[in-house]
Amino acid sequence: MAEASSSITEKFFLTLKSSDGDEFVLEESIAIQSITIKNMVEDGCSSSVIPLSKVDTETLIKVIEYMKMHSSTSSNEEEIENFDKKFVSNSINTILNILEAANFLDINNLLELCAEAVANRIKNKTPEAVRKIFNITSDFTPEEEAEIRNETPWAFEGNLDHSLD
Amino acid sequence: MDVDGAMGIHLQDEIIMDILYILPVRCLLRFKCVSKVWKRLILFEPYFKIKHLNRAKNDQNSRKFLVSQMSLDTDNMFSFYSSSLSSFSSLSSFQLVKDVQKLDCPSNCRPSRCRIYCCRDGLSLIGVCSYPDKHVVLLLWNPSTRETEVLPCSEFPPEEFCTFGLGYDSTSDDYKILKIDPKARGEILALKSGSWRKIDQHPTGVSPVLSGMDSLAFVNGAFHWLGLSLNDFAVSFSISNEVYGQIPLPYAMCLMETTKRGISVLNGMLCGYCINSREKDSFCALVMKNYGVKESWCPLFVIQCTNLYSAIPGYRFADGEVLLYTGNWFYSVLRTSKGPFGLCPQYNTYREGFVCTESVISPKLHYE
Repeated sequence: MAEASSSITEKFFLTLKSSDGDEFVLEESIAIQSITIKNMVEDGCSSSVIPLSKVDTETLIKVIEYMKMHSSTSSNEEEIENFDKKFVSNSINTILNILEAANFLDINNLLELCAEAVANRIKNKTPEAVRKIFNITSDFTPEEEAEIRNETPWAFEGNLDHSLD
Repeated sequence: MDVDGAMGIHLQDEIIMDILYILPVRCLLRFKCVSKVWKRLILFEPYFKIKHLNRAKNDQNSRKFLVSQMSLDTDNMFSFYSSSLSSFSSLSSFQLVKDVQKLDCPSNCRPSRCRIYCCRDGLSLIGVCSYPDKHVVLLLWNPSTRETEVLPCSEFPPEEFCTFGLGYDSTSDDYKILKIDPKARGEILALKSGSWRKIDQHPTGVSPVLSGMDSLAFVNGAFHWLGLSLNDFAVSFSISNEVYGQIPLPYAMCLMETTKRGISVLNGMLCGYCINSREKDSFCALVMKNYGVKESWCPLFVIQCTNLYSAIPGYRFADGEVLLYTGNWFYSVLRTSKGPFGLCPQYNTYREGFVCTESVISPKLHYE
């Protein structure tokens, strides 16, 4: 949510620390788009550095980029739309990392944006490609898998995409 | 905790569901073989089914227009067609829809007649009449997963003269089918019980008037229909506690000269409609914005001089235009308030159509 009338008189800053140990200083009004951070601020845990042990530096940079764009009062709807479009053109692996961070940081808009992007990217893919992207090893026996495929063979027809991005 | 690392992503179930619920049913059926966890989430997680359904309900691309069509080709007397609604636009009157996909007939019998009675949450209730014995078999069918369930026989056939409604009962977390015949006899089938059960008759014994409706209108946890000699009210029947009630009708429907009165559901609101014979058979439709509040009936549109025998508002497009299922004595056609509306091949042989949302809801009876 972009607060239109953020108080100009006094700005508070927070320091976020990635799992790689890098620190980022960010305006509090921007950072509290993350409900997780907002709760920490409200609980008074924000005076020192906020450690984000589940978010690596590369991902945190992207998340901060997103939060800055979405909280800025100067960016209009069209700018935000273009930013989002470009944002989701990142590699699917990057988006999955951001998605996980958005879930941990509880930034709903970002979570929805990334989930939709991933869904769009995988919808025509083969189950094999999806397994590789999500780093999943199949726990079905070949017989079990054949049986599942046989239940709805038509869902496996057509030009499916084998690529991993 | 710290085993993540950029390439080795192991996402929580919650995040997987956040991605999967956006996907069309066909993709979900393909992805259920990714792993046991994915299969469980897609097929057996109640929260996921509801989340997927609720999204699909608000997504034009997830809506299909389901049509049963009588064909003059004797090989295949009846076919079901589904067409993506996103390809429909209320402005594209007269245009034939190209992406019509023929669906498998839900039964392996040779049907001589077939009817779609009602659709809800991706399930459609279908009556198939086989040629020699003329016995109507009721099927519950999910066209997106292509799953079919043959429903048990009910106590008072024939089904042909009955009107059906299909609704979700949140109290028992179950789908229920209500069947009303013109003599006001009613039966209800809960998928979890697996058999039909008679319901109490309306306290005043009022006969239902169902000729202007294609199905019982289900909204706000209750089925609705009109009653003979009940001019000012519609009958409601609660799906969870099976209690009758009354819903006030708009003034326009209470007039003596109205015919083919009926109620349907548009955008989750009750829609009342009728043909006014004194006004040169003009057709009017209204919606009840606040359920149960008479003053909240709000006119949608009037079509003057229709020459229509009957018309049922079936679906409201994003631009507010309403799709009407209309009929004269010979055949059924689709139109909007502005004019005719094109449909799939040989549209003059189409029987009835319903707008159906895609879902992974199973039609199976599950005896608890």
